[in-house]
Amino acid sequence: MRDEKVFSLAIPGIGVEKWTPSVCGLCSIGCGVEIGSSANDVVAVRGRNTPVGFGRLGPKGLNQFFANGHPTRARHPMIRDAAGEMVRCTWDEAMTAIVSKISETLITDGPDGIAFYNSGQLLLEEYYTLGKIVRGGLGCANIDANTRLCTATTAASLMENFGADGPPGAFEDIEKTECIVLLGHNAAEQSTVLWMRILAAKRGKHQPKIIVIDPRRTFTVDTGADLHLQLRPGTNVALMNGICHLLIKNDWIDHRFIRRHTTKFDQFREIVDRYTPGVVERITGVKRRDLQKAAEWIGTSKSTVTTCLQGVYQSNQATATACIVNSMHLIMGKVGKPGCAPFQFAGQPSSMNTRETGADGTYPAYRNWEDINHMRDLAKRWNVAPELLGKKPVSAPEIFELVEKGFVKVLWNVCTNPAVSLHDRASRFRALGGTFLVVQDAFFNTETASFADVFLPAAMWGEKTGCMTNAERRCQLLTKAVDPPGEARSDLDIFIDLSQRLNLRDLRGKPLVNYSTAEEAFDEWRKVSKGTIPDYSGMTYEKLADRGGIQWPCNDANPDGTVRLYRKPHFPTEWEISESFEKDLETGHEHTLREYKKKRDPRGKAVLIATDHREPIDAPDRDFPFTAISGRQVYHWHTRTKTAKSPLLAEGAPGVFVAINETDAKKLKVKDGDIVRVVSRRGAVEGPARVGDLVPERVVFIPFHYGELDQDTSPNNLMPKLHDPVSKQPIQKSAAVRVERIGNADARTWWSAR
Amino acid sequence: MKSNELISLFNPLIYRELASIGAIDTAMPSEDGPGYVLLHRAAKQGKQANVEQMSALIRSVGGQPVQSAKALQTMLKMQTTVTKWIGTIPTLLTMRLSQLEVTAAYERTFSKLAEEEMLARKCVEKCWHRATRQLMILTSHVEGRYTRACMRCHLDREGHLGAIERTDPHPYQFICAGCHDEVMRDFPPDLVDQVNALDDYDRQSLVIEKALSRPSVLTCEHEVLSKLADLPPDMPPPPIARKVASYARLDVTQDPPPEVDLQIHADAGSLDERLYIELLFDLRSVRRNW
Repeated sequence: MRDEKVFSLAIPGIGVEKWTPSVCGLCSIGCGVEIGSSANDVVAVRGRNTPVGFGRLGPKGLNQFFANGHPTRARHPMIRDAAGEMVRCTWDEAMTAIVSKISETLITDGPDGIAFYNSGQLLLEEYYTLGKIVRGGLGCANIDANTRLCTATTAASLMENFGADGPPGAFEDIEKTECIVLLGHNAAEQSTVLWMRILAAKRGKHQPKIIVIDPRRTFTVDTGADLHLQLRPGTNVALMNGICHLLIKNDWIDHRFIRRHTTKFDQFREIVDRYTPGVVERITGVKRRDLQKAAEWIGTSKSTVTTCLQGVYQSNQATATACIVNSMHLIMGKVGKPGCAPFQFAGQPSSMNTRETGADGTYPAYRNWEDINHMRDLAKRWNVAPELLGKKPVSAPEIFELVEKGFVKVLWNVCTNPAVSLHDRASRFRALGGTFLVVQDAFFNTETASFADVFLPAAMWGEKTGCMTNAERRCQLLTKAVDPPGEARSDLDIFIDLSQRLNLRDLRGKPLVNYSTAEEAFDEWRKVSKGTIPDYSGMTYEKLADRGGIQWPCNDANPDGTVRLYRKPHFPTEWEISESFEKDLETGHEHTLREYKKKRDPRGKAVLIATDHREPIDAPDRDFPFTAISGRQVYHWHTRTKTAKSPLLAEGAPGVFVAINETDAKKLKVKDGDIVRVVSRRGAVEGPARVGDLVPERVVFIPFHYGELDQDTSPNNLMPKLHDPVSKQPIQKSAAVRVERIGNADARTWWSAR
Repeated sequence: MKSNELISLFNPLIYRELASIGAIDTAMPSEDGPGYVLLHRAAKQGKQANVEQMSALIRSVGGQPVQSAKALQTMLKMQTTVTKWIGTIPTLLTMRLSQLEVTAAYERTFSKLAEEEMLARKCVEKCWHRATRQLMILTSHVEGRYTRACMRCHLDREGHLGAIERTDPHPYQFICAGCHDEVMRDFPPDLVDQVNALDDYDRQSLVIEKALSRPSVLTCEHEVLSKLADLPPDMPPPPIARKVASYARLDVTQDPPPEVDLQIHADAGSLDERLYIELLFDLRSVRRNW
């Protein structure tokens, strides 16, 4: 443990009666916190000295408790009456209405008629239970989470290169590395505590050089980058190919590692050979000397950590880029060693758990849906019919299209706000307004909740017990500090109630969900994951509470968990254990088991992957000459359902803006603070212009947190209905737009408060 | 109809479908043609949907659906084990025979249900139609009308734009000309120009991806395969936006921030970390600069 830091925020004048150990419920870093409560109110938060943040917290983490006691917390269920108004009802009335609608739809339409869209912010036990009900009980393939918008590409790329999901590295690699590359990862605003650790490491033993690759001059660039590669949006693949080209050309690679532990090096080299610095400069706009410097720092450092986030995952050629990053590490042999990791990141606090437990549409514990043996093994542990498992996952973009086409009659939305967060919002509004929509949330007034037919009030962070696993595979226990308000229930209790009301049973006639507490759910998950890649069998609540979290796999062989994967570079690519059978990067289509067995199986070697750059489909042209990109602000989380409840955070970032380059602004006669309208082929955004050098010419940036139903403030209005072919992650970082000046600064806007 | 009558009517159908799924699971791993693997997969998914649908009906009347079909499954699996060594078509032939029986059983069950058994009739009709479509696909291949199976419609229909076929180094992919035409018509209007502007290869990649998505596959089943199986088209009507969203503005307070006791001590960190933390908690600076 390091020197303990003190990060705390409290309401003065209210004495804390009890401190409860927990974990921050915002980003994927999972910093330890203590929740200070008085009576049944959360009144303070302070950092807890765990191996993640060592007591540090960011502004969002410190301010999160304002949401718990906010007047917009949902306290009772509601149902839409015959006049179309939402009125208060009992839990029994709400659940009866839902179960009746689900049963009827299952009978008349089958499992294609219902869908579940959940979150990256529930607890492991809740995801596991939901996944078991939907897959094992209802036989429904229409289940996904908002992690599809967040880290689906992480999982997809790890499967392609290594055979299975599971980030290989650990946060402690930050302090053990000589070079850190942040690709499309604005850590200073997304992962504030991780960025603090990086900045601390910068003056530590290894003094890593920091390379930031981002089209925008971000807070990260300004507070810690040694080199900023400001590439054109949508050109990540070309840039990464260029770096790999130089690594090979300068022989900064590990030939022995390549020979013994990887396949397809010749094909990889053939592609990246084409990406000379000149070619890369033409495509990306990054100067040759900067590319060469980046490659030299990466190649000549003894150790390298590369982190990727939404600048990769929500961009053009998302999975391809992430795969090239993994491959870059593989050709240097920089995997599984201290200070070496391709860190495909998670965004939300428990997005790892959605992927592990199958609440994102996969099957639990990285089981391969195409492999009948995996399904039989799962069926045995669940005690259900194996014949009903093994359906191809249906991703969130597909689910919403099924809703729009009328196939899905019931959509159950849990702890997420797709009315703001999904791209091509106009079509989403039609879908949400037309289907039977169940919304389960902590707040009654989210944009999505306003379309609900039945609303279920849920407990939130601090109000329930369970686990979250962070981006370094560390599972941590969150302990309930206060009761939820009014009649609100934990998501776990709601799912168990659903299973009982639907009369779901296993082969022996026992209830399918045969537990009632989070700890019992966790114990079942330990059994279901035993012997698999994300093995939790060696963990218990007691052990987790004692140790400040444990990194999986944790089992008899590794009772204290596993800091990093692939210390022995044998990868789970054999067909018997692989989570996927290698997909086509261009179409997303996967080999059949037989094709993979006969032609592709690398038998424990990792796969090197590169592909050629392709321009974004919605590319700028004469009518729409700019590219709109989106991103986050440090004081907000997602669609602000939690962070807007904090007066401090809301003051720090009260509204949308449009960042535009000063040269473009001059041509368009736009002054700082003028109201501009950004128009794409499918929608528009209005907001005050922020003129400067945050973005390069011909690019505008719009933060994605805003999206009130009666205002054009969300960049998702602009984004096309396109997604990555492999990960199915929506492309939310590029749309061709034009910019129009529509007026002077409005006194009501954010700019008035500057 | 009494609950126990309903249960005894539907449980044998579930039993039969579960057994057929077991036979498909036996055939699939040794099938060489990826197009036929997808044909089997679609058949399996249709049967799974039938089982789930009828199970939901049984549960709704307080019964417990059958969840295992070991005896019949063993027999069908043995049959399949023999035929799969002979080849794809003999396997499909065996499956067709089984499918003929299942389809007839659905038809008989439907005829036994009175008009007032609305839900049960809808349930069995849907299952019957799925079975009929599947039978049509199997018959087409067994009769030798096609020599390859499109991964979307499982046939090999003609069309204007031509079929798309990819092989090594890609996984094998095949979209027939008919599906190619249909998928091209299904792109959103705001993307049509950009899709048409792509070169052939990239456009076809997009078509394959879209063709194999669940919405596209289901659309094909309901619009195209139903018609080919002499069933009435049964595309669901698109949802009508019947709800007007009550405006749900987030309560962003206009009040000045409350007094809070914020304590940050990170003296042990580096200068860079301390400078960053200072900026991070300085609302005005962040607002002005980023």
